[in-house]
Amino acid sequence: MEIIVPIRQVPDVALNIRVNEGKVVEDGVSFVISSWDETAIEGALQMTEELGGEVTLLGIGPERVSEALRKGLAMGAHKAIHVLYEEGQTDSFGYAKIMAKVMEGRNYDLILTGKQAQDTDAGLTASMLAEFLDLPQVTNIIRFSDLAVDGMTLYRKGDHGTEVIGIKLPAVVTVNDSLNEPRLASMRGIMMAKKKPMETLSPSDLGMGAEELGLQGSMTEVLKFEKPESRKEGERFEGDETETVPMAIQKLVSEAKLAV
Amino acid sequence: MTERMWNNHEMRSSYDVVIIGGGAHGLATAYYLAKNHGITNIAVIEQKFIGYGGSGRNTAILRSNYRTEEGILFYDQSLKLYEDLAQELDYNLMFSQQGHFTLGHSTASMQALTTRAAYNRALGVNSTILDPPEIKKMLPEIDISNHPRYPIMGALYHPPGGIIRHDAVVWSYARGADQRGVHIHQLTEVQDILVENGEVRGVKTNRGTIHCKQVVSCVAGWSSEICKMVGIKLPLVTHPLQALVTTDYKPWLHHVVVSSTLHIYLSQTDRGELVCGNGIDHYPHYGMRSTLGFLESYAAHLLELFPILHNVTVQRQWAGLCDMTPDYSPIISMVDDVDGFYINCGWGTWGFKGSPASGWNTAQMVAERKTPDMIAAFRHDRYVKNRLVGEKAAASVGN
Repeated sequence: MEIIVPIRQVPDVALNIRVNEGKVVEDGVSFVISSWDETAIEGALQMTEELGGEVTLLGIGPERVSEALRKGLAMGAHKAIHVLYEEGQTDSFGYAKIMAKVMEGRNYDLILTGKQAQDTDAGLTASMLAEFLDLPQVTNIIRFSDLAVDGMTLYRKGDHGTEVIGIKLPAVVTVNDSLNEPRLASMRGIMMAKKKPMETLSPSDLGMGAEELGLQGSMTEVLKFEKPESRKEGERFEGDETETVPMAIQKLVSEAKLAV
Repeated sequence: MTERMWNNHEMRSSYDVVIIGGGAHGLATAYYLAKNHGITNIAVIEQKFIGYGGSGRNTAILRSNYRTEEGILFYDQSLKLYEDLAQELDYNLMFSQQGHFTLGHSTASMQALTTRAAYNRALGVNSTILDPPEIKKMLPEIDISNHPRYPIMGALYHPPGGIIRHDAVVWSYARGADQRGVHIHQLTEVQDILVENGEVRGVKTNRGTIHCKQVVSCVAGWSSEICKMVGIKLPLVTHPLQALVTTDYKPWLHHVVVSSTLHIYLSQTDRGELVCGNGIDHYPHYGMRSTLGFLESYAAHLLELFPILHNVTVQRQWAGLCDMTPDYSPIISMVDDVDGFYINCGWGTWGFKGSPASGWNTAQMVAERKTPDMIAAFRHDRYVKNRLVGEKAAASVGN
């Protein structure tokens, strides 16, 4: 079973993200694999461990994206494709188009990726990719079963329950983080990742011109980023409970407009 | 009601002593000023939270097997203070004196280790040279064959060395200082140091100005920035140092292992994780980013020493800042041109193990306004007087 896993490298959201003049400050930021994509890598590894075949990672972006790909290779993926891409702002449509170009002429049974990227939370790229490739798609899966090279059963999480869907391959599938617990890279995996094949392509290698890249190739534009307003400092009531509890309730009613 | 280990206080407009930096060195200085010298009107000013810097980012290895007389005596005092610290501060610091190996992989490194062992023993510090079969007896999983690129030729073994719970050291010093009346002000940034006619008058912070006649800088990686405020230039270069921790495994490694040639050191915590460190990053930088390059080189070198660890998985990595001095020894010093300003810095990769002696002697220096004999060699002007205290040969890894 041949699986391609598109991954996105995102700023580590566990750390403080700084915004300056409407742009995210990249200096000093650690970049990591988007967590849903890590889940997709783990899912793909489990599938190939059962059925054989290889997992190919696909990353699009500047030189630093090769680190994310090597981390995915250290987890156990077999090879990687890096589209070296420095075009700046690109939306889901733009990325989906580049991915579709990468897929041309390649042999794959499944494209498995995260349900959305951790930085934009858009959740559009995989669906757009499925449309470009004219493939069936299932999003937000929490489980798979009846695995075979030509199809499988997928469990899709919805608001009010779980849909159980049979799908024929090839297809595009996105994963929810409850699908699995991604494995950590082992010392041997980290060493072996250095020797695994990584194919580096440029947009021009894919036959893409300037009109298909960056803002020109996108359908939306992010005008600016704004940091959420920080929460106001709380008020502490110290002393005897018979006095402080009524004081706190009065504040909740008068300032927080809580109906008692 | 919850009892806090240390309390928040309103900032006073003046203190007798202001200590900049709420790490192990700053808090230990405050604690010993209060305990040994009865000076309690002290503020510890911390830009983030206590233990945010090197005190919370080191690999918690303690040892005193240094190379120079000054270094050996100072770190021996520190280790002895550590031995009694849990009882003194009434806090379980999980100090495990499990013994410390420094591996030698060449004739030259074995000569250097042999010299260290002799110096250590001459000054009463327990250190000895072991040959590969003796090492294998104590570290059965280590590869002592001649297959690796750097075969093991011997080791400096230092029985009193070990590991401790670093956060607990910070917390317990903070509690000890707080109980004696010291004010710890977290999230407070020093913006300037006020000096008039060559004398310290106070510090300007983002929460207001504090008047004081004595200021101690214990800010390690940020020392150049603080010293700039009083017009002092120090020969410090700040480099990041990276470390990692693995998932937990059944106890198998019962000693600290260091290889300066392979640039690695590791120990196993009581929880079972391997805590692993490397040499400093080669570029001066204030960023604390973790890199894949560090992971890759660490994995390669670790597997040379312990091939059985190939399936060990990495849980987390982090980085801290090291204020490196040219001679790999600290700077603990009064400043002739600025009366009342004291420098405690240059702790590079050797700071955590020196914390108690650093605090003890800095406190004495501040209280008596003269340099104690123990740290006389660590004055800041030794670099212009060419009286270096060369400890590079005793640095854990070949930085």
